[in-house]
Amino acid sequence: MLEIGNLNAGYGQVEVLKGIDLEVREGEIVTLIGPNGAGKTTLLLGIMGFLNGLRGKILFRGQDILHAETEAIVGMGISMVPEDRGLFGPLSVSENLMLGAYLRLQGKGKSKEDKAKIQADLEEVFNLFPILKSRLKQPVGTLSGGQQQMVAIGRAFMSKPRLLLLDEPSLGLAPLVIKEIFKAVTVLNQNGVTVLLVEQNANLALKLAHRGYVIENGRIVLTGTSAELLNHQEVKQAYLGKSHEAG
Amino acid sequence: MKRQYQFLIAISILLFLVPWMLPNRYLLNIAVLIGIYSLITIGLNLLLGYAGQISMGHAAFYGIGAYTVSILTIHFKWDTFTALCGSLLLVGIIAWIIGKPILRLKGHYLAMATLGFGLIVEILLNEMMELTGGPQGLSNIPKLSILGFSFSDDFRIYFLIWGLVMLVQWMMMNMMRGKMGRAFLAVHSNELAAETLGINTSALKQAAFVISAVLAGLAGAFYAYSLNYISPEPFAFNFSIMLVTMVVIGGMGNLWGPLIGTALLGIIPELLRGFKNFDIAFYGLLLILIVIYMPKGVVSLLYWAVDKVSKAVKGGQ
Repeated sequence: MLEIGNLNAGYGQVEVLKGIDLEVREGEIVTLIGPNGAGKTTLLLGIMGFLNGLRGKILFRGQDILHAETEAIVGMGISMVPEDRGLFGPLSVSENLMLGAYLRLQGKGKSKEDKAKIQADLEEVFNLFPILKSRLKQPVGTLSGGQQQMVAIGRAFMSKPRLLLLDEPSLGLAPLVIKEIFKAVTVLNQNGVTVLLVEQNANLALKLAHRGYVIENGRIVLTGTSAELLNHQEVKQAYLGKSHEAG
Repeated sequence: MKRQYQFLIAISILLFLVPWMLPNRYLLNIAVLIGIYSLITIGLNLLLGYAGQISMGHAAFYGIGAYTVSILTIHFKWDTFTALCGSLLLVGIIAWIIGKPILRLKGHYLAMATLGFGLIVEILLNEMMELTGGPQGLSNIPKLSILGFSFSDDFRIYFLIWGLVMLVQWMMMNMMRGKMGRAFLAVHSNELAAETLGINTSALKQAAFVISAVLAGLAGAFYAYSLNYISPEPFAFNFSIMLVTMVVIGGMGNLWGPLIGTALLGIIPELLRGFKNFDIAFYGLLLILIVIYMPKGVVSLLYWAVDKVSKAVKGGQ
């Protein structure tokens, strides 16, 4: 579904991505793990069309999107939840969610069917995160961190993505809340959304994902199925820590 | 939102009665001028309060609108209504062309660039003597007439302009209620996130810039048609600052803010005339007090009052 080949990118003189190869197949959850500053977020921004001067190859469902506009990329079915969640704080939960469907509401003469579909997707978000239904009119800025992450994922889902990019959804959340968020990601995946998950919390990410990539200093240093990576000596030492060995 | 529309109807009725309540012609002229300024500030609020982009050069669009209709009717003998359409088109095209590069800038840089544009236009108005008449300006601009109906006296001009203001206000309310309004607020609140949702933020900013410029051009054309005389002075840099002040004092990002701010800043100088030479000092003091105690603009006073009243009503029941 997503095919990245020999991708190079940087900010000015600084090279951040140095020949990335990565593939996400339809129906998978793939995770990209690695330390701070390795280039994880940069890769996501590159896929979304935010970076200038990309070199290499990015194919989405066979189509070249290396130089496509963000608007077009979203229209093709990629959606991203940014690292800071990127919510519109003063706007209400329902306004944030409806903004996710922005492109679907674009253009004149939207039929009742289209609107009904959007309504149905909204219901699906509420099925996933029931708490949001009771907070519809509340400004997103006043919600807890976990609820904000729910809105962010729900909003990304409202664009009806085929591929969902998640940038550190566990950041700053309590373990129980992370569990809930990750469970929701699994449900979305079972409903047909392919996921590329960027995480620092390697243990959790690998337990959720089918396959994983390890990125260091802008290079993919390791790849394999989640089970392989979880048992890999270097990964254990560098990312999983003692708690995993004990468990 | 329903209350907003009720408010619009109430204001419209009030404005309809105003000309009969004003004791003299002079005050009617001021009411017309406030209407003209309101057209600009409503548009500027779209840019400033909703799209989150500053412009320190909107007086230039106001000036281009005024000068274009004047030049087209005086030098080229165009019919007044055709000249009006031509001037709006020209302002729109100019705004579109300069908006493209300028709106890539942010914050102070955008302020500087728009300010520069305003100064360039100001200089051109002064120096292009053959067309603009230079510092002396142009006189004998005809009255606007549409399909044979001439807006020849102040009453007619008043109703035309305030009718338009209410129409523009209504259109703005409709726009902000829907998808477009949400998109503007999204861009203002978090530009990157807005883009991840497929919102074309640069197109949206560009649209706000062009719409606000065309409204300023429209105001300029009406200014020329109602005063029948123009000079570069009212379109200078000072007025650009005045426009931003009106929006900020009234309350930016609120649909009623610009109308309130414009009315206040239009009326206050008249009320301060009793202070003779000290009026400027009082004016400045008032602005400082408003900014300190009502950072969200005078419109917040209105919301506070409505809240109090509705609580009192509920308490009484």
